[in-house]
Amino acid sequence: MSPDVVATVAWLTLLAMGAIWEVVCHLSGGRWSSLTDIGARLWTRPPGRIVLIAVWAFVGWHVFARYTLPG
Amino acid sequence: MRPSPWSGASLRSAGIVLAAAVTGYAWWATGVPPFTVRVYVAVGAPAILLLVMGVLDSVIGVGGMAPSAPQQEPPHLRRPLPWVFLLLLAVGLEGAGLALGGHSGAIPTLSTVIDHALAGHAVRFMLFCGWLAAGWAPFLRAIRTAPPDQGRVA
Repeated sequence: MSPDVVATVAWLTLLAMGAIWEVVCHLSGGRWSSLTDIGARLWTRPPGRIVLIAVWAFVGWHVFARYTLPG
Repeated sequence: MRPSPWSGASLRSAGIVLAAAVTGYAWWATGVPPFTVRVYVAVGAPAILLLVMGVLDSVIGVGGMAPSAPQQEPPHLRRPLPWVFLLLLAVGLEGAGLALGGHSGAIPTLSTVIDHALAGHAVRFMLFCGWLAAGWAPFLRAIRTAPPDQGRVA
């Protein structure tokens, strides 16, 4: 298996682990904090809001405005 | 106290119209070619709008956080270590990819991996909708869970 396939599988595994863990956190009845909880906590204070919006805006700008189609 | 003009069917209708408008916007925005002024505006507009709403929310209390009102106790984080672990793994992988030039054939960065998924308009559209939902969720959640006497339009 070539290194790029390994790295791509690693990325997809990480994303899947994040999605699964988010679901597990929601099902845990509050024993574990989900990403949603972390976002809600950051949102309660203005500096946290600015950071959240800045990170989110950067992701959107990078992914949807500056993508390069392979090939 | 006057009865709210936003209730029942009218609120539902407004929600449907808003959802249709957002869906149409997302379809249009994901059809604009990358690296153009139009796409920067299309992606930047929801972010600017959220920033304005977020600031308004903390100034006049749209989401129940007016400075004059008692601050809501932020939810406590319980055992966030798995998220830190996942974040460190992602940062390590992204760092390795960037160290190799960003478009390395050996270790692609996350955005290079995502680029493969962005080839189709439908997938771009779905990812864009997911991005919008993720960004607006904390604001909408704050409004939904705000006490009725703080910042709600009555």
